[in-house]
Amino acid sequence: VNALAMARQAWELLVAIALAPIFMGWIAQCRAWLQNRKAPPLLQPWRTLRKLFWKDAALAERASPLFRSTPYVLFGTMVVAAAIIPSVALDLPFVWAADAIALVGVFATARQRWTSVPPSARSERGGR
Amino acid sequence: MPPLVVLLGLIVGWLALGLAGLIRPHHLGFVGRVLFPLGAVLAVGVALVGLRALRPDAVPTVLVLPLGLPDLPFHLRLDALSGFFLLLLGAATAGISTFAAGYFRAGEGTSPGLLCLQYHVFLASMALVVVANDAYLFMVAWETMALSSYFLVTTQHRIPEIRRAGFLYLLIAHIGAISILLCFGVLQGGSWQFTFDAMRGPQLSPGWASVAFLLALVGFGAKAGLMPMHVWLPEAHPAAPSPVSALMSGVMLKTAVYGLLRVTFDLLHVQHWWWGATALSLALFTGLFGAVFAAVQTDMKRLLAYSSIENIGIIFSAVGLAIIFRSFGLHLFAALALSAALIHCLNHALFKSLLFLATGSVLHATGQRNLGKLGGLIRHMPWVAALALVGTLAIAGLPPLNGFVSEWLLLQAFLFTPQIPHSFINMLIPLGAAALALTVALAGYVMVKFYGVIFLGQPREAALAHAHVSGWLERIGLGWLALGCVALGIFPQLVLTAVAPITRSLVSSAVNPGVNAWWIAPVAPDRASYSGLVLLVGIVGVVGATFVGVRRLYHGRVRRTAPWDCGYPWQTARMQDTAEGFGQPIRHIFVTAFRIDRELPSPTDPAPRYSIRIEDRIWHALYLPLASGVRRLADAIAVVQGGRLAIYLLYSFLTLIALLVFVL
Repeated sequence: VNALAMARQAWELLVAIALAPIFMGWIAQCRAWLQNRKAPPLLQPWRTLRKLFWKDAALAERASPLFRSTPYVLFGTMVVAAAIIPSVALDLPFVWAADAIALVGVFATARQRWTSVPPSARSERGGR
Repeated sequence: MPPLVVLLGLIVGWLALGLAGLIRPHHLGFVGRVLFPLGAVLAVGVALVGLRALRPDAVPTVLVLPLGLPDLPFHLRLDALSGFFLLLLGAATAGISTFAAGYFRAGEGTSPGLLCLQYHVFLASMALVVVANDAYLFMVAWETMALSSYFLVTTQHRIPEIRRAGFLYLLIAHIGAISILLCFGVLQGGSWQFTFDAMRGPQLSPGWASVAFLLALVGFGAKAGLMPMHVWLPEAHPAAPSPVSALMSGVMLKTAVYGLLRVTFDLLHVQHWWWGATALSLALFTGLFGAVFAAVQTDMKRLLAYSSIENIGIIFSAVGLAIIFRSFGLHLFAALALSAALIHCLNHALFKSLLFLATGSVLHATGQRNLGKLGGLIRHMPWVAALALVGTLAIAGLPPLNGFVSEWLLLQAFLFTPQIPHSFINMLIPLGAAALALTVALAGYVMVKFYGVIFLGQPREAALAHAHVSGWLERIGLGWLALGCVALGIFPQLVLTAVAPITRSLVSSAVNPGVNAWWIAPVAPDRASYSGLVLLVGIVGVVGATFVGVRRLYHGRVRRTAPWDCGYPWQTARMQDTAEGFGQPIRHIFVTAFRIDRELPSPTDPAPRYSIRIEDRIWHALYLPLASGVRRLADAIAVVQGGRLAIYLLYSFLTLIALLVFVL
């Protein structure tokens, strides 16, 4: 594992993280076009993120520590998944950490965390 | 000192601890705080003996005891396979015994001292099963194991349902034992030599070998909970005290896997591919069945029992795949599948024990086994909740914990099946891989339900606010098992190296434990590789960096507030997603698998009641007709017994006449 490979890995990660909201923006655009609406700009998800960083966070009174940690875990697993898949650069040092099955496992970890949170966050009294 | 002598010393030590329990059977402090922790220490010793037998340079050692029948003394043998299962037994028992030290309370059926005796006899018999080297000692240890665990299951013997569950367990254990006994009878092949050394030597004819394999599959399958002999598991596990459930599910089921491996690979030297195909199809059915049934359970220990059935399905499908590969001479892939089976045995021993013990803590804290009356326990029992979370993630097969490693290895083994030179199997096995993937995915679903309903959300009953925390011994026991789950997930190359001597002796090949210390690449680095450590470090690193970054960027104003009630203010905790509700989609999709008794209230009912009972079709299709058939037969025979003396005299007279005619 040399410095160049690590630099490639970091570059790929940054590109993936930067592009991910834009990809969401593109999907939103396509959906809007299909519904005969005027589409939001491509960078709208990035703007939303910036706005959310200004606002206060509201947390349910009885939300558990698991609930608070969930966004971090989701972000962490998705970043690791992005690091595993060679997309922009090839021959990354992280690629060896997992094959396709392990990648599904990483997604499953995120999914498991995601499914154990929402029922009470949506409704009922207090978060999980 | 030879390792077998050390092991014998440890086994005798367990028996002595058990007997010591009878000195002061009602003194909980003595039995709990002294004898059970000592038993845990001995278990660590057993694990170390097993670990020693797994060293690459270790040779099988044998020992003949001056006990047993006049012409058939007890033979013991410690090789790599026995060593691995001793390691499993010791590692899991160390945690379970520590937990049990703080778990048992007075006034629950059997007195603590007697329980201690049954418990340690159970442990000793399991250790003897895996080192027995003749059919006689094996059967003695096997039956001791069945009987001692029967008494442990019926600890609360004053409750009729528990006696019934115990009877069912004992019945199926005996059907299995008869099958195993017949299997050994076939294996001796007319030589009347009952040592395993004698059985290992000559080759049986293909027909008889197949009979022996099928008998072994039925016999050991009955113990392991293979379909259709799984019915005892969901009855016995909820009935038994939690440490006993943990021991039975985590360790005892694995002795059946040991037995099948011993007979198939060591004594019979695998001969036919269809043995593997039979085991594989049965196992995949079992796995899917267990996962689907676990998804609709509302009793937490029953749910875990069905989950054990599912995991046994995974293990046996790996064994079946190994048999198929071995019979086609694909030794490396057979080693891969066999490694997956063995590692999943060890993993399941750790995480299933952990989860059963966690249900024990919950049961003691709340007195509830019903998922519908639990919830929100993460606030009252943070330790148990955190450790159980490790267990649920591991059993759901999520990286970077240990459950993922074995499932990954097994899926890799499935990916290599196109190399089998047999078109029928090549057609069949992708279906199997799909079934396995579905099973694993459903297991993840089941565990979200298990953890979410018990520990997350809001308490569904007011009484749960008084749930008391677990004791420190319970936490140590749980912590030990959770540590094992994490360690084996992050360093899978350790356990891959440990099973290498076994696969080398059974299928004469071993997988490559890894390119280096960081990742494993069992077959070839360019085929597939995995590194739990890198994944963990990656996720933890990103989470840490994000946390620090958000701290820096964000102003940090967090409001704690009542969640929005969607405009409906009269909400109660009972309106949360229930266990039934969570399992409902699965119940609808797999509706044909269940026999459902549902009672729906009428819309005008002022006090509506909803109830649903989900039963196993096999129970009604197979077991009840069998039972009624046996009863009818018995009734038919009972006609002979008229109860009148004259008739009985007539029988004797007629027998005498018949004999005279026969002789003359």
